[in-house]
Amino acid sequence: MNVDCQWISKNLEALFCDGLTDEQHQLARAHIENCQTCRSEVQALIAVDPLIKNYFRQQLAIAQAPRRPRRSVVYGSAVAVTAAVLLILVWRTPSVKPGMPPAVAPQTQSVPAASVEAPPPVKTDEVTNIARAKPEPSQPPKPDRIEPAVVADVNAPDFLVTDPAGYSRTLEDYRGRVALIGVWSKDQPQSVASLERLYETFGSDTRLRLVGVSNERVQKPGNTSFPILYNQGSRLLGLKPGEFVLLDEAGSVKLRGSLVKDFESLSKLLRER
Amino acid sequence: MKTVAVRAEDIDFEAAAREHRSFLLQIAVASARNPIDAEDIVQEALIRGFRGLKRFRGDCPLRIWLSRIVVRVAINHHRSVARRLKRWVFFADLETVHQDGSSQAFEPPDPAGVFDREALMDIRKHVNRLPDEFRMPLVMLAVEGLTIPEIAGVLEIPEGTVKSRIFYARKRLKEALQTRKK
Repeated sequence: MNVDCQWISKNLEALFCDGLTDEQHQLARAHIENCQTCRSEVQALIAVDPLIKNYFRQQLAIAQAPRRPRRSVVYGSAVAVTAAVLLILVWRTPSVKPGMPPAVAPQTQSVPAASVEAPPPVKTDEVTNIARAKPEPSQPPKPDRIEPAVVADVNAPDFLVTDPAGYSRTLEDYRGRVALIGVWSKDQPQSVASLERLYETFGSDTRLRLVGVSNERVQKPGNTSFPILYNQGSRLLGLKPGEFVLLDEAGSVKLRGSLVKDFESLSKLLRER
Repeated sequence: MKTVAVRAEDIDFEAAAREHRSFLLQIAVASARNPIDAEDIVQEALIRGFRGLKRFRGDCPLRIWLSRIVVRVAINHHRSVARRLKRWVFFADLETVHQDGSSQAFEPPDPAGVFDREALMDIRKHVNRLPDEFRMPLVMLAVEGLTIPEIAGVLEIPEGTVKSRIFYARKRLKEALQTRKK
Protein backbone atom coordinates (compact mmCIF):
# COMPACT_ATOMS: atom_id res chain seq x y z
CA MET A 1 0.00 0.00 0.00
CA ASN A 2 1.38 3.37 -1.03
CA VAL A 3 0.80 6.05 1.60
CA ASP A 4 1.34 9.53 0.20
CA CYS A 5 0.06 13.05 0.88
CA GLN A 6 -3.10 12.43 -1.14
CA TRP A 7 -3.83 9.27 0.86
CA ILE A 8 -3.24 11.08 4.15
CA SER A 9 -5.54 13.89 3.12
CA LYS A 10 -8.24 11.43 2.14
CA ASN A 11 -7.96 9.36 5.33
CA LEU A 12 -7.26 12.14 7.80
CA GLU A 13 -10.66 11.71 9.43
CA ALA A 14 -10.13 7.99 9.83
CA LEU A 15 -6.70 8.72 11.32
CA PHE A 16 -8.20 10.91 14.01
CA CYS A 17 -11.26 8.72 14.54
CA ASP A 18 -9.38 5.45 14.99
CA GLY A 19 -10.73 4.19 11.70
CA LEU A 20 -7.45 2.80 10.39
CA THR A 21 -6.05 -0.63 10.84
CA ASP A 22 -2.83 -1.02 12.79
CA GLU A 23 -0.83 -1.42 9.58
CA GLN A 24 -2.43 1.66 7.98
CA HIS A 25 -1.85 3.58 11.14
CA GLN A 26 1.86 2.74 11.25
CA LEU A 27 2.32 3.67 7.59
CA ALA A 28 0.47 6.92 8.04
CA ARG A 29 2.58 7.87 11.07
CA ALA A 30 5.74 7.10 9.15
CA HIS A 31 4.67 9.35 6.28
CA ILE A 32 3.64 12.20 8.55
CA GLU A 33 7.00 12.16 10.34
CA ASN A 34 8.82 12.49 7.04
CA CYS A 35 6.43 14.89 5.24
CA GLN A 36 6.55 18.54 6.29
CA THR A 37 3.17 19.39 4.68
CA CYS A 38 1.28 16.54 6.27
CA ARG A 39 3.01 17.09 9.61
CA SER A 40 1.95 20.73 9.63
CA GLU A 41 -1.60 19.77 8.79
CA VAL A 42 -1.81 17.26 11.63
CA GLN A 43 -0.10 19.60 14.09
CA ALA A 44 -2.60 22.33 13.26
CA LEU A 45 -5.48 19.98 14.01
CA ILE A 46 -3.88 18.77 17.24
CA ALA A 47 -3.12 22.37 18.29
CA VAL A 48 -6.82 23.04 18.48
CA ASP A 49 -7.21 20.77 21.52
CA PRO A 50 -5.21 22.85 24.03
CA LEU A 51 -6.97 25.95 22.78
CA ILE A 52 -10.30 24.31 23.44
CA LYS A 53 -9.20 23.15 26.89
CA ASN A 54 -8.02 26.63 27.77
CA TYR A 55 -11.21 28.12 26.39
CA PHE A 56 -13.23 25.66 28.46
CA ARG A 57 -11.33 26.53 31.64
CA GLN A 58 -11.99 30.19 31.02
CA GLN A 59 -15.68 29.54 30.48
CA LEU A 60 -15.86 27.38 33.59
CA ALA A 61 -14.18 30.08 35.66
CA ILE A 62 -16.79 32.56 34.48
CA ALA A 63 -19.58 30.14 35.33
CA GLN A 64 -18.18 29.42 38.80
CA ALA A 65 -17.44 33.05 39.64
CA PRO A 66 -19.81 34.67 42.12
CA ARG A 67 -22.63 36.25 40.25
CA ARG A 68 -22.25 39.91 39.82
CA PRO A 69 -24.53 42.12 37.83
CA ARG A 70 -22.95 43.31 34.65
CA ARG A 71 -21.26 46.67 34.80
CA SER A 72 -23.55 48.01 32.13
CA VAL A 73 -26.59 46.84 34.12
CA VAL A 74 -25.26 48.46 37.30
CA TYR A 75 -24.50 51.75 35.57
CA GLY A 76 -27.79 51.67 33.72
CA SER A 77 -29.74 51.00 36.90
CA ALA A 78 -27.93 53.77 38.75
CA VAL A 79 -28.64 56.25 35.97
CA ALA A 80 -32.29 55.18 35.82
CA VAL A 81 -32.77 55.54 39.58
CA THR A 82 -31.09 58.96 39.58
CA ALA A 83 -33.23 60.13 36.70
CA ALA A 84 -36.38 58.90 38.44
CA VAL A 85 -35.46 60.69 41.68
CA LEU A 86 -34.72 63.93 39.81
CA LEU A 87 -37.97 63.64 37.90
CA ILE A 88 -39.94 63.20 41.11
CA LEU A 89 -38.16 66.13 42.73
CA VAL A 90 -38.82 68.38 39.74
CA TRP A 91 -42.41 67.20 39.65
CA ARG A 92 -43.06 67.88 43.30
CA THR A 93 -41.28 71.24 43.43
CA PRO A 94 -43.81 74.07 42.93
CA SER A 95 -43.01 76.27 39.98
CA VAL A 96 -44.69 79.33 41.59
CA LYS A 97 -42.21 82.17 42.09
CA PRO A 98 -42.47 84.52 45.08
CA GLY A 99 -44.85 87.35 44.34
CA MET A 100 -46.79 85.47 41.73
CA PRO A 101 -50.43 84.48 42.15
CA PRO A 102 -51.17 81.01 43.50
CA ALA A 103 -51.44 77.94 41.35
CA VAL A 104 -54.21 77.51 38.84
CA ALA A 105 -57.51 76.60 40.39
CA PRO A 106 -58.78 73.09 39.69
CA GLN A 107 -61.95 74.45 38.06
CA THR A 108 -60.01 75.24 34.91
CA GLN A 109 -59.82 71.51 34.17
CA SER A 110 -63.44 71.52 33.09
CA VAL A 111 -62.49 73.43 29.93
CA PRO A 112 -62.39 70.82 27.13
CA ALA A 113 -59.50 72.40 25.24
CA ALA A 114 -57.33 72.40 28.34
CA SER A 115 -58.29 68.89 29.36
CA VAL A 116 -55.79 67.41 26.89
CA GLU A 117 -52.84 69.08 28.56
CA ALA A 118 -54.29 68.95 32.02
CA PRO A 119 -52.17 66.86 34.41
CA PRO A 120 -53.61 63.71 36.00
CA PRO A 121 -55.77 64.15 39.10
CA VAL A 122 -52.95 63.18 41.43
CA LYS A 123 -50.67 65.87 40.04
CA THR A 124 -53.40 68.49 40.22
CA ASP A 125 -54.02 67.63 43.84
CA GLU A 126 -50.35 67.95 44.56
CA VAL A 127 -50.19 71.39 42.94
CA THR A 128 -53.28 72.47 44.83
CA ASN A 129 -51.89 71.20 48.09
CA ILE A 130 -48.65 73.02 47.52
CA ALA A 131 -50.57 76.23 46.82
CA ARG A 132 -52.41 75.78 50.11
CA ALA A 133 -49.34 74.84 52.05
CA LYS A 134 -47.40 77.88 50.89
CA PRO A 135 -49.81 80.82 50.74
CA GLU A 136 -48.76 84.11 49.28
CA PRO A 137 -46.86 85.88 52.07
CA SER A 138 -47.94 89.33 50.90
CA GLN A 139 -51.63 88.48 51.19
CA PRO A 140 -53.36 89.50 54.44
CA PRO A 141 -54.61 86.63 56.55
CA LYS A 142 -58.20 85.77 55.89
CA PRO A 143 -60.68 86.16 58.80
CA ASP A 144 -62.11 83.07 60.34
CA ARG A 145 -65.67 84.37 60.11
CA ILE A 146 -67.12 85.95 57.00
CA GLU A 147 -69.01 89.14 57.78
CA PRO A 148 -72.20 89.91 55.85
CA ALA A 149 -71.72 92.08 52.84
CA VAL A 150 -72.36 95.73 53.55
CA VAL A 151 -72.22 96.96 49.98
CA ALA A 152 -75.31 95.91 48.10
CA ASP A 153 -75.35 95.45 44.37
CA VAL A 154 -78.03 96.79 42.05
CA ASN A 155 -80.05 93.59 42.22
CA ALA A 156 -80.18 93.51 46.00
CA PRO A 157 -83.55 94.03 47.74
CA ASP A 158 -84.49 97.50 49.00
CA PHE A 159 -84.78 96.46 52.60
CA LEU A 160 -83.76 93.19 54.17
CA VAL A 161 -82.50 93.09 57.75
CA THR A 162 -82.26 90.64 60.63
CA ASP A 163 -82.77 91.15 64.31
CA PRO A 164 -80.13 90.04 66.88
CA ALA A 165 -81.93 86.69 67.16
CA GLY A 166 -81.49 86.08 63.42
CA TYR A 167 -85.06 86.63 62.24
CA SER A 168 -85.29 88.55 58.99
CA ARG A 169 -87.40 91.64 58.48
CA THR A 170 -88.68 93.36 55.31
CA LEU A 171 -90.84 96.43 54.65
CA GLU A 172 -93.90 94.19 54.68
CA ASP A 173 -93.40 93.71 58.39
CA TYR A 174 -93.88 97.46 58.98
CA ARG A 175 -96.81 98.02 56.66
CA GLY A 176 -99.83 99.51 58.48
CA ARG A 177 -97.64 101.54 60.84
CA VAL A 178 -95.42 104.58 60.59
CA ALA A 179 -91.79 103.42 60.47
CA LEU A 180 -88.70 105.41 61.25
CA ILE A 181 -85.58 103.65 60.03
CA GLY A 182 -82.24 105.13 60.97
CA VAL A 183 -78.81 103.82 60.01
CA TRP A 184 -76.22 104.08 62.70
CA SER A 185 -72.56 103.36 62.98
CA LYS A 186 -70.03 103.12 65.81
CA ASP A 187 -68.04 105.82 64.12
CA GLN A 188 -70.98 108.25 64.34
CA PRO A 189 -71.91 108.55 68.00
CA GLN A 190 -74.03 111.62 67.30
CA SER A 191 -76.41 109.68 65.05
CA VAL A 192 -76.64 106.97 67.75
CA ALA A 193 -77.51 109.62 70.30
CA SER A 194 -80.17 111.08 67.99
CA LEU A 195 -81.77 107.68 67.53
CA GLU A 196 -81.77 107.14 71.27
CA ARG A 197 -83.41 110.48 71.93
CA LEU A 198 -86.10 109.83 69.29
CA TYR A 199 -86.78 106.40 70.80
CA GLU A 200 -87.05 107.85 74.29
CA THR A 201 -89.51 110.44 72.99
CA PHE A 202 -91.67 108.39 70.62
CA GLY A 203 -90.91 104.84 71.59
CA SER A 204 -94.09 104.50 73.56
CA ASP A 205 -96.23 105.32 70.50
CA THR A 206 -97.74 102.05 69.35
CA ARG A 207 -98.44 103.43 65.87
CA LEU A 208 -94.78 104.15 65.35
CA ARG A 209 -91.97 101.68 64.86
CA LEU A 210 -88.44 103.02 65.30
CA VAL A 211 -85.44 100.85 64.49
CA GLY A 212 -81.74 101.50 64.17
CA VAL A 213 -80.00 99.53 61.39
CA SER A 214 -76.30 98.84 61.29
CA ASN A 215 -74.30 97.73 58.28
CA GLU A 216 -71.85 95.93 60.57
CA ARG A 217 -72.70 93.14 62.93
CA VAL A 218 -71.49 94.84 66.08
CA GLN A 219 -72.90 95.16 69.53
CA LYS A 220 -75.25 98.02 70.32
CA PRO A 221 -73.51 100.92 72.00
CA GLY A 222 -73.97 101.21 75.70
CA ASN A 223 -76.66 103.34 77.30
CA THR A 224 -79.00 102.87 74.33
CA SER A 225 -82.38 101.20 74.28
CA PHE A 226 -83.70 101.52 70.72
CA PRO A 227 -84.14 98.25 68.87
CA ILE A 228 -81.37 97.42 66.45
CA LEU A 229 -81.30 95.44 63.23
CA TYR A 230 -78.51 94.28 60.97
CA ASN A 231 -78.45 94.86 57.24
CA GLN A 232 -78.32 91.66 55.15
CA GLY A 233 -76.82 93.03 51.97
CA SER A 234 -79.87 95.09 50.98
CA ARG A 235 -79.68 98.56 49.52
CA LEU A 236 -81.40 99.79 52.65
CA LEU A 237 -83.62 102.22 50.70
CA GLY A 238 -80.50 104.11 49.65
CA LEU A 239 -79.65 105.15 53.20
CA LYS A 240 -76.12 105.83 54.34
CA PRO A 241 -74.82 105.74 57.93
CA GLY A 242 -76.19 108.71 59.84
CA GLU A 243 -79.32 109.04 57.66
CA PHE A 244 -82.95 108.14 58.26
CA VAL A 245 -86.17 107.58 56.35
CA LEU A 246 -89.75 107.99 57.55
CA LEU A 247 -92.33 105.70 55.98
CA ASP A 248 -96.09 106.08 56.25
CA GLU A 249 -98.58 103.26 56.79
CA ALA A 250 -98.57 102.43 53.06
CA GLY A 251 -94.78 102.12 52.99
CA SER A 252 -94.22 105.35 51.08
CA VAL A 253 -91.29 107.57 51.92
CA LYS A 254 -92.49 110.70 53.69
CA LEU A 255 -89.16 112.12 54.75
CA ARG A 256 -85.48 111.31 54.56
CA GLY A 257 -82.47 113.16 55.84
CA SER A 258 -79.66 113.22 58.35
CA LEU A 259 -80.21 112.00 61.89
CA VAL A 260 -78.10 114.85 63.23
CA LYS A 261 -78.79 117.77 60.90
CA ASP A 262 -82.48 117.09 60.34
CA PHE A 263 -83.20 115.96 63.88
CA GLU A 264 -85.38 118.97 64.74
CA SER A 265 -87.55 118.83 61.63
CA LEU A 266 -87.99 115.08 62.10
CA SER A 267 -88.99 115.51 65.72
CA LYS A 268 -91.45 118.22 64.73
CA LEU A 269 -93.04 116.13 62.05
CA LEU A 270 -93.44 113.20 64.43
CA ARG A 271 -95.04 115.36 67.06
CA GLU A 272 -97.48 116.93 64.56
CA ARG A 273 -98.48 113.60 63.13
CA MET B 1 -17.67 0.74 31.75
CA LYS B 2 -19.85 -1.24 34.05
CA THR B 3 -23.35 0.07 34.29
CA VAL B 4 -25.17 -0.44 37.52
CA ALA B 5 -28.93 -0.49 37.19
CA VAL B 6 -30.50 1.79 39.75
CA ARG B 7 -34.22 2.08 40.28
CA ALA B 8 -35.66 5.58 40.35
CA GLU B 9 -37.33 5.04 43.73
CA ASP B 10 -33.98 4.08 45.29
CA ILE B 11 -32.29 7.35 44.32
CA ASP B 12 -31.63 10.01 46.91
CA PHE B 13 -31.98 12.82 44.42
CA GLU B 14 -30.81 15.54 46.77
CA ALA B 15 -27.56 13.71 47.50
CA ALA B 16 -27.10 12.83 43.83
CA ALA B 17 -27.64 16.44 42.79
CA ARG B 18 -25.08 17.57 45.33
CA GLU B 19 -22.60 14.95 44.11
CA HIS B 20 -22.96 15.61 40.38
CA ARG B 21 -23.53 19.33 40.44
CA SER B 22 -19.92 20.18 39.55
CA PHE B 23 -19.91 17.71 36.68
CA LEU B 24 -23.25 19.00 35.41
CA LEU B 25 -21.92 22.54 35.54
CA GLN B 26 -19.09 21.51 33.23
CA ILE B 27 -21.57 19.90 30.87
CA ALA B 28 -23.61 23.09 30.97
CA VAL B 29 -20.54 25.18 30.18
CA ALA B 30 -19.70 22.89 27.29
CA SER B 31 -23.29 23.01 26.02
CA ALA B 32 -24.18 26.65 26.57
CA ARG B 33 -22.85 29.44 24.45
CA ASN B 34 -22.74 31.80 27.42
CA PRO B 35 -21.07 30.51 30.60
CA ILE B 36 -23.02 32.95 32.73
CA ASP B 37 -26.14 30.94 31.95
CA ALA B 38 -24.57 27.65 33.07
CA GLU B 39 -25.68 27.89 36.68
CA ASP B 40 -29.26 28.60 35.68
CA ILE B 41 -29.19 25.77 33.19
CA VAL B 42 -28.01 23.29 35.83
CA GLN B 43 -30.64 24.50 38.25
CA GLU B 44 -33.43 24.12 35.74
CA ALA B 45 -32.11 20.72 34.64
CA LEU B 46 -32.10 19.48 38.23
CA ILE B 47 -35.68 20.64 38.70
CA ARG B 48 -36.72 18.85 35.52
CA GLY B 49 -34.77 15.79 36.54
CA PHE B 50 -36.46 15.70 39.93
CA ARG B 51 -39.88 16.02 38.36
CA GLY B 52 -39.15 13.35 35.74
CA LEU B 53 -37.22 10.97 37.96
CA LYS B 54 -39.89 8.28 37.50
CA ARG B 55 -38.92 8.10 33.82
CA PHE B 56 -35.31 7.22 34.69
CA ARG B 57 -34.98 3.58 33.64
CA GLY B 58 -31.55 2.99 35.14
CA ASP B 59 -29.95 1.92 31.85
CA CYS B 60 -27.18 4.52 32.19
CA PRO B 61 -25.46 6.32 35.05
CA LEU B 62 -27.61 8.98 36.67
CA ARG B 63 -25.09 11.70 35.88
CA ILE B 64 -25.28 10.86 32.17
CA TRP B 65 -29.09 10.92 32.34
CA LEU B 66 -28.95 14.30 34.07
CA SER B 67 -26.36 15.49 31.55
CA ARG B 68 -28.80 14.79 28.73
CA ILE B 69 -31.32 17.04 30.45
CA VAL B 70 -28.66 19.71 30.87
CA VAL B 71 -27.86 19.58 27.15
CA ARG B 72 -31.54 19.88 26.20
CA VAL B 73 -32.08 22.77 28.59
CA ALA B 74 -28.95 24.50 27.27
CA ILE B 75 -30.12 24.18 23.67
CA ASN B 76 -33.59 25.49 24.50
CA HIS B 77 -32.10 28.26 26.62
CA HIS B 78 -29.84 29.36 23.78
CA ARG B 79 -32.74 29.38 21.35
CA SER B 80 -34.92 31.46 23.64
CA VAL B 81 -32.09 33.89 24.40
CA ALA B 82 -31.15 34.06 20.73
CA ARG B 83 -34.68 35.08 19.90
CA ARG B 84 -34.64 37.85 22.45
CA LEU B 85 -31.10 39.09 21.82
CA LYS B 86 -30.68 38.24 18.21
CA ARG B 87 -27.97 40.63 17.27
CA TRP B 88 -26.61 41.67 20.61
CA VAL B 89 -23.04 40.95 21.56
CA PHE B 90 -22.03 40.70 25.20
CA PHE B 91 -18.63 42.27 25.16
CA ALA B 92 -18.32 41.60 28.87
CA ASP B 93 -18.36 37.88 28.13
CA LEU B 94 -15.10 38.14 26.25
CA GLU B 95 -13.25 38.83 29.47
CA THR B 96 -12.73 36.66 32.54
CA VAL B 97 -13.99 37.87 35.89
CA HIS B 98 -11.79 36.68 38.75
CA GLN B 99 -12.84 35.95 42.31
CA ASP B 100 -11.52 39.29 43.55
CA GLY B 101 -13.70 41.11 41.04
CA SER B 102 -10.93 42.01 38.60
CA SER B 103 -11.37 41.14 34.96
CA GLN B 104 -8.89 39.97 32.33
CA ALA B 105 -9.19 39.82 28.59
CA PHE B 106 -9.27 36.33 27.14
CA GLU B 107 -5.80 35.27 25.93
CA PRO B 108 -5.51 31.60 24.96
CA PRO B 109 -2.07 30.12 24.46
CA ASP B 110 -0.72 29.02 21.12
CA PRO B 111 1.64 26.15 21.95
CA ALA B 112 2.28 25.09 18.39
CA GLY B 113 2.77 28.60 17.13
CA VAL B 114 0.47 27.76 14.28
CA PHE B 115 -2.19 30.38 14.63
CA ASP B 116 -2.17 34.13 14.53
CA ARG B 117 -2.14 35.57 18.05
CA GLU B 118 -4.82 38.08 17.20
CA ALA B 119 -6.97 35.32 15.80
CA LEU B 120 -6.66 33.40 19.05
CA MET B 121 -8.36 36.27 20.81
CA ASP B 122 -11.43 35.38 18.80
CA ILE B 123 -11.42 31.71 19.80
CA ARG B 124 -14.70 32.10 21.61
CA LYS B 125 -16.29 33.71 18.60
CA HIS B 126 -15.09 30.92 16.34
CA VAL B 127 -16.19 28.22 18.75
CA ASN B 128 -19.62 29.76 19.05
CA ARG B 129 -19.91 29.92 15.28
CA LEU B 130 -19.72 26.14 15.13
CA PRO B 131 -23.06 24.36 14.95
CA ASP B 132 -24.17 22.72 18.19
CA GLU B 133 -23.64 19.20 16.83
CA PHE B 134 -19.93 19.98 16.20
CA ARG B 135 -19.28 22.39 19.05
CA MET B 136 -20.68 20.30 21.91
CA PRO B 137 -18.62 17.13 21.36
CA LEU B 138 -15.45 19.16 20.84
CA VAL B 139 -15.86 21.22 24.01
CA MET B 140 -17.03 18.20 26.02
CA LEU B 141 -13.65 16.64 25.35
CA ALA B 142 -12.30 19.21 27.78
CA VAL B 143 -14.71 18.15 30.54
CA GLU B 144 -12.72 16.38 33.18
CA GLY B 145 -13.24 12.64 33.15
CA LEU B 146 -15.69 12.63 30.27
CA THR B 147 -14.82 9.94 27.74
CA ILE B 148 -15.89 9.52 24.14
CA PRO B 149 -18.46 6.80 25.05
CA GLU B 150 -19.89 9.07 27.74
CA ILE B 151 -20.10 11.98 25.32
CA ALA B 152 -21.96 9.63 23.01
CA GLY B 153 -24.28 8.73 25.88
CA VAL B 154 -24.90 12.34 26.82
CA LEU B 155 -25.57 13.42 23.25
CA GLU B 156 -27.38 10.17 22.45
CA ILE B 157 -25.39 9.57 19.26
CA PRO B 158 -23.02 6.72 18.25
CA GLU B 159 -19.37 6.90 19.29
CA GLY B 160 -18.22 7.00 15.69
CA THR B 161 -20.41 10.01 15.08
CA VAL B 162 -18.90 11.70 18.10
CA LYS B 163 -15.36 11.13 16.80
CA SER B 164 -16.32 12.28 13.32
CA ARG B 165 -17.96 15.45 14.61
CA ILE B 166 -14.99 16.23 16.83
CA PHE B 167 -12.69 15.87 13.84
CA TYR B 168 -14.75 18.17 11.65
CA ALA B 169 -15.07 20.66 14.47
CA ARG B 170 -11.29 20.72 14.81
CA LYS B 171 -10.96 21.12 11.07
CA ARG B 172 -13.43 24.03 10.88
CA LEU B 173 -11.82 25.77 13.81
CA LYS B 174 -8.35 25.33 12.36
CA GLU B 175 -9.48 26.69 9.00
CA ALA B 176 -11.16 29.67 10.65
CA LEU B 177 -8.04 30.55 12.60
CA GLN B 178 -5.70 30.00 9.63
CA THR B 179 -7.93 31.98 7.28
CA ARG B 180 -7.57 34.98 9.51
CA LYS B 181 -3.79 34.56 9.51
CA LYS B 182 -3.73 34.69 5.70
